Amino acid sequence: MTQEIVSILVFGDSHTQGIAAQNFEFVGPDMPRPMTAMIKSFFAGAGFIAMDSVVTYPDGRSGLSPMFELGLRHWSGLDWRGNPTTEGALVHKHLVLSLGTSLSDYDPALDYEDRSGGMRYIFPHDIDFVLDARPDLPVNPSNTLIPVALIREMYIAILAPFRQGLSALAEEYAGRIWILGSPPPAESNDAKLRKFNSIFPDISEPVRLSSPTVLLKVWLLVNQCVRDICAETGVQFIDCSPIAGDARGFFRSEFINDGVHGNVRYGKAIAQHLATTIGKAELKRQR
Amino acid sequence: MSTSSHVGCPYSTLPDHAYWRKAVAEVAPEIIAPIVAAPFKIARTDQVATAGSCFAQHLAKRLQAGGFSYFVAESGYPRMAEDLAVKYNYGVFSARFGNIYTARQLRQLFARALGEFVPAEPLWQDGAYWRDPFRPMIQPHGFESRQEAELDRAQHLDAVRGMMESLDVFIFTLGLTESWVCRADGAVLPMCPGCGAGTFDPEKYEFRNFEVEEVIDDLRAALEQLRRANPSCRVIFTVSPVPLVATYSGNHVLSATTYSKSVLRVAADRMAREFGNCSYFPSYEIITGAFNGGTYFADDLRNVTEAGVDHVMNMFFRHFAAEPPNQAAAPSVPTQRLTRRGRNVLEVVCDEYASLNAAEQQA
Repeated sequence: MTQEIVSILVFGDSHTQGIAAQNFEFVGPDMPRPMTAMIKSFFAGAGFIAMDSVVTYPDGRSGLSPMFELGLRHWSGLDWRGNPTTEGALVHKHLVLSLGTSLSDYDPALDYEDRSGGMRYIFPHDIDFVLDARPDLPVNPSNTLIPVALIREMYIAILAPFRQGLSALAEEYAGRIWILGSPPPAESNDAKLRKFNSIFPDISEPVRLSSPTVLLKVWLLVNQCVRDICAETGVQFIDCSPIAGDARGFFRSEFINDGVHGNVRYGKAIAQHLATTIGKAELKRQR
Repeated sequence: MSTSSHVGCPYSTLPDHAYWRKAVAEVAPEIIAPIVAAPFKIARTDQVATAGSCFAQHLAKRLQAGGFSYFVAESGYPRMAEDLAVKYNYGVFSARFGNIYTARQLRQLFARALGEFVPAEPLWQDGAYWRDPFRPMIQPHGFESRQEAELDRAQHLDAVRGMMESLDVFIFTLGLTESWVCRADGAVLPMCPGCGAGTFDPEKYEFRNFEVEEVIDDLRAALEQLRRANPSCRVIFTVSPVPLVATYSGNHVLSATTYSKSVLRVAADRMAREFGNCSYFPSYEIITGAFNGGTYFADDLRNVTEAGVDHVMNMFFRHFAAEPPNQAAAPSVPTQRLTRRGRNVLEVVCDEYASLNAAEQQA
């Protein structure tokens, strides 16, 4: 029997660094046999989400971004000069876009303004909202209550370029595209605040982040928005929360070192999750 | 005492504004100002709050454009885009109360904010959503859970109380005398249940068309509530020139509109005479006056044109502003704009129109 290789390229933001350590051939106990998942990952840079895959040039022409194209070349068995590599003979092509969570985009307490090329973070508001699906996540009475429908509409607007980019990519890309949702927030902000202060040491006012509970609610909303966009664009969505989340839904502490990003252990767990999810889908498709 | 100096007609010494010919007929329409003297001025630093019917929104927008301090006590989330804020009624009025059409509604809102009245009417369930019956159109679809609706209402009433305590000037635009009332406790609803939201039940709700004495009582009570919270505040009443979308009174809608506006106009006048630091501003007269030949109304003879709002705000700033506004807030009104052609209509949020226009389409 021929050993089949399900080749997967994971392309994404800082969370992908953990997965990047998993460039391996994987034959797990959950994999359909005979099948091997070959995972390659490409770290596109901090803050990457799929919207970065499509760029619009000054002449109005749109196309894949240079960084994304480089990743695709890598995927297609070509090196960055366009020469064939030894990994060219792949049977199936799956592209996984691993979404990140930019602080300024996803923390509603944070905003920033661009001043002469430098970003200045501002901390405008403590907000909260009711997420009916999670009555166990309380509302802080000292925060300003905002209708959840408004918050959702706001993030749908933020995700509009992502929808556009994903739609364009789905048309242009011959292989199958998967979206790996970003991992949930950590249960504590302590490590994140330390990291924030080290990145922006000149901030004059005290850094104030949304509470982990608010961040978890936002993450749940955004995750659902991304899931909806995937459904509308015909792209498969892989929810990482069954792997990454603890009992309450926060990022499992053993998967984080710096308070934000998935570590190597997370990368290994999520790589296994990808391999089995995609492998099973591949097997189903073949049948 | 000689009577020789008093034998002339007492009208002969009156100023020009007392004469129709000098004040209206022979004055260029665009500069007619049916106001004599404002009892107080508004500085740019004064916190000006507005409430009332649809027409009040024009005041809010122009005050902001004019560089005056428009007071928003319930501002929501700073990162939201302006169109999203308007969609959810943030900043449309000084708090998120939506249209307040009647004096009784204002009185009860203040009482609720001060903890003096808790209406018995429960939240309205609308499919998967929940609506606040006292502001049923405050956001699209309604609230997504009962908890959200209850928390938002509590936050809203806190904001109204904060507005009452902190404002410097309160401008209230009276809109209607007709309303729908809960039979249980007299709580006034901003719109008829069953028209866009809620379910009509004649056992629970009744139609009321308030009499002039009732409107005066309600305004007096509302003013007393406001002054208890904020003794030094200044108040301006206006009457919306926008006619009723529909009447349930049994009268012709034109006649019903005249009744409603007449009652409101009398009540506003009474307040201005009865209370210190309280004034009436004649936006109603400017828009409906025969001098403009109906050109301040759009083709539907109901909505007010941009030229009409320009005229109103020019007069408002001229008489009430302590310093000139930014030009954008009060552009001059050239005579050629007083024609029936090419009239621009300004968009406002109007719950009455939204609910009853649909009913008319079905009728």
